[in-house]
Amino acid sequence: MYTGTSTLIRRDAARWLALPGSALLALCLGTSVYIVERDWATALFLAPFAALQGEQADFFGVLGNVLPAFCHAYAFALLLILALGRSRRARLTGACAWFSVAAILEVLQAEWFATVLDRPAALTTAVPALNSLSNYLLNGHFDYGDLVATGLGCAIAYLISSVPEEFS
Amino acid sequence: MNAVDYKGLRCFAIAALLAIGIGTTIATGGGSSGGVAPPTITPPPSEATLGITAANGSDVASAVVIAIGISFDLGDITGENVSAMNGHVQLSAPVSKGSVNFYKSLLPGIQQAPESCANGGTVDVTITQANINTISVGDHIVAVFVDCDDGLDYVIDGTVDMTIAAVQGDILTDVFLLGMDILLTDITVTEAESIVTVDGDFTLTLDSMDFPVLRMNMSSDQLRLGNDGEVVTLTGFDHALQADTGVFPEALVANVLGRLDSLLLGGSVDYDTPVAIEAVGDDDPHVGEILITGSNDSSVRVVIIDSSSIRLDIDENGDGTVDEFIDTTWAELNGRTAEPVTESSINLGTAPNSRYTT
Repeated sequence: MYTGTSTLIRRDAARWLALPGSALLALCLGTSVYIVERDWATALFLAPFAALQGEQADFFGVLGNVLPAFCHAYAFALLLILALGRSRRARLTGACAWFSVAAILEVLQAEWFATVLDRPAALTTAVPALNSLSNYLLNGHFDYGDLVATGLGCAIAYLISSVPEEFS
Repeated sequence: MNAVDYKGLRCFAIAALLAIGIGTTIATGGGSSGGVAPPTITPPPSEATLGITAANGSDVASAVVIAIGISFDLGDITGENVSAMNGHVQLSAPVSKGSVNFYKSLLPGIQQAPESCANGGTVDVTITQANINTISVGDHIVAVFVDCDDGLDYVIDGTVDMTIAAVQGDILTDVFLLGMDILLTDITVTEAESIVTVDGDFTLTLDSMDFPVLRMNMSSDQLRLGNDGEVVTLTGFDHALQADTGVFPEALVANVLGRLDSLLLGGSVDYDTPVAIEAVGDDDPHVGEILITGSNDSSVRVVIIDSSSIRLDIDENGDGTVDEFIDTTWAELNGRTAEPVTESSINLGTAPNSRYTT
């Protein structure tokens, strides 16, 4: 009797531990798109190593355009869900919350927004973080494909996070 | 109590996740490829002009001076496997002669087989000439370097593609004009711990029609320079150098204008030389001004006091009044800890020894 309960607990824990593992894998996959296909000089986290970049490869094909957005949304929606709790309401909140954040960030890259944004030069120079944000807003590309990929990532995160609950 | 702690921990985890998620979104540019894989964040050209302040004035001046120096270095690519990139040689009269010597050496043949470089690697030069006895407009020369080490303390990799655009006079004499359209693809010059990359095209004109006065002019719509991770783009630039070799030491005069975009600095600035830069022999320039203008007419004026001293006049708000003076030196502006050994050059920055090296 004791052994059976313990096994169930271990299985439940394993299922829940698999979720952050899948989030980590998704982040690695998304990062690999940048490393393999993108121009390092165009991504702030890779820009310092741009001089070391070799030939860019078209490894992911058309998927490479939206895979980072999908993976990022999946990973962070899932991690947010795990932080919020196991309930259905928490899972829904987590997925919707991250979709809202990611969607806002994507929309802020729209060209019409850049035209009304005039960054205060002195401030952005003094605070590098703001400078990065300013670059992101002014020079990033709004893409409907990213928006769809983000929604898909959040939805799948919601569904995947429901699996352990169903088995419990 | 435990319940309170657990709630606090959960709130902290959620806040941390949101912060990291937003941070990584910005750091990656949002993941967008915008369709057919255009860059997510491009080095901001005209639309993201950088504001110049007392805080960044030195960095901006240094970046411009170093970029100009690297561009001048490229003037040597035709002669000595981009030997100008070795950090010691800048655009100069001898460099021009070196370029010409290169062409003279090519005259007898149409094509050369791949050659091994002295200390490893190869260079494969292919020449297409209308007349094998001379250089003509339209002649095409392609040099493919593969980890070529000619014992000059650097290794070069990449492709140099040149098309002759103008020829006047006799190239076998000292009196001639040679114009070239040059395309550099994936050029990487490695020297010790330093890596310089170059991509783009430019037009190079070597003019000695008024010999012993030699003139070199470089212009380009866009040239991308990488230096140990920092990438800058020069756009719409026109750099000219004149060397009077009839006097000793030779007198050098440089005029430059263009725009520099830097991801690291966070924007673009325009630069110009309202007062031509002058130098003598091996010395650093002793006269001249470089005016660098950012957003809202903010500016930093690089005023050359003498061959070692420089003053930076910074106007933060564009009202024409200098808000801050900064006294500096060529060594500091170039990020040099020691003076490089140069040969007859205007020393406007050396890539591998630049401040970006450290």
